[in-house]
Amino acid sequence: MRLVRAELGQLLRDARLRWIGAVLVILLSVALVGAWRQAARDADAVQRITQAERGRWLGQDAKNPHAADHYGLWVFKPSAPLAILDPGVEPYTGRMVRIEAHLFNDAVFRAVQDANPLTRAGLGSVADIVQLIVPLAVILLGFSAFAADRERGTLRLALGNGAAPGRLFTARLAALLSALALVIGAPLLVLGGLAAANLDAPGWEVWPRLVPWVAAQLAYAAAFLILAMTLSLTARTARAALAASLLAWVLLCVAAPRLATVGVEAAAPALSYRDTRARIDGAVRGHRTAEASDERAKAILARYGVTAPDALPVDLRGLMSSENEQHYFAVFDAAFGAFFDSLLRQERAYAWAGLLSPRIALQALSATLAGTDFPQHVRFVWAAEHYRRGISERMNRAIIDNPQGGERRYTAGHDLWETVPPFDYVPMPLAGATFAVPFAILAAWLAVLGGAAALAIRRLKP
Amino acid sequence: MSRALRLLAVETGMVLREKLTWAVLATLFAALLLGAHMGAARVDAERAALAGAAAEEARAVATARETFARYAQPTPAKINAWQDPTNAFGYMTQFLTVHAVKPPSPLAALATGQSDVQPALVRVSFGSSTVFDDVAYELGSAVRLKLGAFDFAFVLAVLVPLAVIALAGTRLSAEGDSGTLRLIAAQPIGPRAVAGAKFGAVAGILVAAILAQAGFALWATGAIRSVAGTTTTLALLAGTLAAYILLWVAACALVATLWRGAVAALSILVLAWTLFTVVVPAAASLAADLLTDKPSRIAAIDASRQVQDDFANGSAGPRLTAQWLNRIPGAAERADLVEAPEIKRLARDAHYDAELDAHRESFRTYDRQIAALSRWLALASPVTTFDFALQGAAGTDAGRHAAFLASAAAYRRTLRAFFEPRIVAQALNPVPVCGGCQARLDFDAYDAVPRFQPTLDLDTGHDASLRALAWLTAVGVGLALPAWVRLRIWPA
Amino acid sequence: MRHAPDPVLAIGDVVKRFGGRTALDGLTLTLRAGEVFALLGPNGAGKTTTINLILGFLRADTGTVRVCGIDAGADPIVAREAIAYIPEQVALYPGLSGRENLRYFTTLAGLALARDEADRLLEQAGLAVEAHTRKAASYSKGMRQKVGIAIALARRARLLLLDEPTSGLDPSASADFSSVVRAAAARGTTVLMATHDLYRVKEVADRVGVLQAGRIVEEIDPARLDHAALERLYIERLAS
Repeated sequence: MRLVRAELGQLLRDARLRWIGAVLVILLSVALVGAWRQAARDADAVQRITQAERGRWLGQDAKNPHAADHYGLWVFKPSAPLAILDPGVEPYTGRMVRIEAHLFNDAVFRAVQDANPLTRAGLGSVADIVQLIVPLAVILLGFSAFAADRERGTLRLALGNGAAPGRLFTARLAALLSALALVIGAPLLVLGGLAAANLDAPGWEVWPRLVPWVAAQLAYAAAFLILAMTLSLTARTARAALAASLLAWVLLCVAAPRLATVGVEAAAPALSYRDTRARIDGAVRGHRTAEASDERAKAILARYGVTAPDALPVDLRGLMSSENEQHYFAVFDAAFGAFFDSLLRQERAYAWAGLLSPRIALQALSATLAGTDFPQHVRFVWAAEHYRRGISERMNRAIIDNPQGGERRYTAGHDLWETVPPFDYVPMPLAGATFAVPFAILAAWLAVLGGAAALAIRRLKP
Repeated sequence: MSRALRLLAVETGMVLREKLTWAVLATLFAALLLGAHMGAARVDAERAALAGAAAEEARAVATARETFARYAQPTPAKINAWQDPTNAFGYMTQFLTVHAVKPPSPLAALATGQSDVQPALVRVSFGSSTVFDDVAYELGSAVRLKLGAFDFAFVLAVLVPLAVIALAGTRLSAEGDSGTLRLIAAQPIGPRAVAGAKFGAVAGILVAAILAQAGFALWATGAIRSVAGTTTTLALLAGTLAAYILLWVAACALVATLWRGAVAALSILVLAWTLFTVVVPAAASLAADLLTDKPSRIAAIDASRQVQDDFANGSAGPRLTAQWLNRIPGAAERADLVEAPEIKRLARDAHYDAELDAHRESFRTYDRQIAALSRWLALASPVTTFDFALQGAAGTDAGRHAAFLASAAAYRRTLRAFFEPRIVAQALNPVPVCGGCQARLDFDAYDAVPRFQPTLDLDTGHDASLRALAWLTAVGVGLALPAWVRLRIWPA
Repeated sequence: MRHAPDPVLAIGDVVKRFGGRTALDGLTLTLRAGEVFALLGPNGAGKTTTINLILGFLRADTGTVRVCGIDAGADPIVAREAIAYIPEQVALYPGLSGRENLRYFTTLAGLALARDEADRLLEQAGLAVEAHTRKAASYSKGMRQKVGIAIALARRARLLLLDEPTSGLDPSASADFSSVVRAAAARGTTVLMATHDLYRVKEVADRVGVLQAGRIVEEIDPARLDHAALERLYIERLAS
């Protein structure tokens, strides 16, 4: 412990740490404050339009329920509060869905589609900074840990005078990690926690998500610190240690994520969206023809043992509409079910791609902890679809129960509209999220690097 | 042979004998091959999608024609308007299958650009929920989009500078560390001649090797199949790539003249790379957002719903429909038409269009402005300058997409102008049909439906490359000059 | 009237300051062709500054440094045409062989050395033939020193500057070195060596100057130095 204190004292006097720390804190704060303000603005706008939509739905004139079903409404995906730290895939997924009769509409208006073309080139978020810049900062702090001593000859002096290399390594690692916790962990935990809690997002389990999220970021930084220090142990010169660490950084943090897309797309291809839509269109097209409708109408009349629609105890069009919807639901369930399953399978393959680089592992783990991963989006898509189906079924039920024909025209009003509850999306709880794979892989990276460090310590030559 | 040339030849030989040189060039070559292959695969997929869309359009027309023939016979089955492709209104709203397309340019494989987030294929339809023209996208792996494409532009704009830093970053400073520099400096030769030979040799090797590798990769993977019409752009891009490499070599030379040693040189160069690859683009993106007024999608949706609400409820709908009918000769006296679903729908859509035009225009203006502004802001970093030049040449830039969306919107108006008179004519004077026929049988001009005319402005790529070439050359000279000045004397 | 030839090295009343510290304080020294001059002095006496001034790496605040009549401060590249310099640590390119290093450094000096000629020079400098084509990464300090000597020989320079030439060399390599210096002097090359090595000085130098606080405080004839005088000199002048 005394050794750690001594190393920490020496480290805190190092101008390099002060500079790197200051730059990191500024970068993280700017990104965090920007994201928080944007999130607050967006949440406010969503809340206002959600209320307006609810008002418009309830304020509809009296009309046939099917017209109301077509009138529909828009629902909005609530952004996870920790998206201000790690937006995950949120910018790449649609944020709002038009709820209307017959159609399984896409979630539309992805932030990335509206963003300026420079956005994706730069650092978009706190998570980007942690994933790309922090390892570089850590390398610049750690590469000289032993190599510089070796060059100066002080390592020879220290080892020759009985210093245990293992203890020296641990003390330096502990000192650097403490500094990192101070520079990265503390601001993320405090600022991130305050900002996220301030966003008023019930059901998101802000603190239970935030603490492991920050821990994951620190573990990731620690992995690169151990890497840089291990290379520093083995390299003959500080220059070689730096060059090797930077090469590792370029491979793991810059090249590997993009290379992973090549591998995963080849190994776990997802179904094509266009093909899925074409399949749905094909299944719907045959069902919609006049001849097919006519057949179904006849079948219903036969089922009720009557020959004319007016003789039915229910409304024929309502019943046909309802049965049509059931057919569409089954088509959507099969086609979109398979489609989203293939995307989720691919998502899991991306988690395994973490074996290529800790950055990929952290990306998967971090987004899952933040609640900004793809399964969260898929849950929203289906929640919106089920809400839509609920409205359709309610409207069709009302039509069925109020047969029309001849002079009878059925119109419903506020009472029926009010039976439709507001869209209340409950995010996937943390306990339901699957982060075992990226967690295990990140832990494996730490273990492997730790093992390499232990080996290098045993073989240390001054 | 002059001493300078002999020295250059000797230095070139020395660089070529280093294992690192071959390791770096081999890695880069593999990356270029992979990048070109991915680009070629992406372009193939885009072409296949366009072919699929064209086939879908042809199939829709064939089905409509076949349905027309069937419905031209007497049938007991009731045919609703939404089931009837023989009717202009039914066909337009339910069966019309047409697309606005942005076909890949001949150099599309060079850069993914915006093509993975912005659709190249927009189905133009008159469904009831269409609020904006640019909502379409191809849902796929969001993680893939987040990680980014391993494309040719990534290798050239992002990895090539790292290769330059690996080979040129510690020239002179490594000699300073090892002490060789003192022996070099003691010879009757100035630092400019030595630095010129050292950086000149590595620059020559890098420019020649990377240009050759890039050309080979594009040819071997089939990423560029024909150079017709693009030779000037390709030549300019080759020049831009050379200028980009030389710029980074000049940066290495400038850092070497700080005489701080290899560790400092490497640190400074990698930090500079990080700065220009991610930090400056982030700042430029922030500036772009601050300098433009980005319209809100939520506000636009709210407005669209407001308009919809106004039309659907109260007396506005019938009043607006009657007003719309008044503009049509012979329709004013047909009070019954106010209740005709197709007339209500046309009047409603005309009202929506008029009311939402300002919102749509604000998005189109924003798209144009942000594309133009980003092009300028990209100049803040050589990395984005080069990347944007590649996107411009590839036709995957934001500017082309903005133009595409505008032309898709114009196409939609053309289609409406095609169908509207036919629908109105049918409402005013329904065409007579055979006895027992249930269909309307007033429309079979399926082949006369206007087709989208894709545009491809090759000059954009040409201009983008020329602009980047000029700017990167200027920046390169701007870096080389202070290096030249500082290399007046050897460090003591 | 015939002018006397310019001295090979003429340092006239040179003052050089670094910030507030005076490194050279009125140094004056003239060397003629074929002379071997040893500059003795403790660390910080100004030996390296003197060499840097002669090589033109530094400019004097006042006074002149001329090499074969050329102002080294104003025209360092031309002045260095006449100079060959062997630093204390001859750092070569480790990836190149001794022969290749020699050819590289002579190319810098504007010479095109044939392979045979390079081998002859390396041999003359005392580098074993088998080492000519071996990578310099495996060379000892003495071997690297010999490549440095070969570079100097190739240059046929009129002034040979040696910075602590024998530090770290084993006795036999030091002896080899002395004979090379004597041979160079015999060919008319002027030699200026900055050193601590009193015994080697006695062996090779014609003149010995003691540099202290930036000026030559004593000039000694090495022929008159016996063992006791060397010891006295060391204790009084060098043991700083």
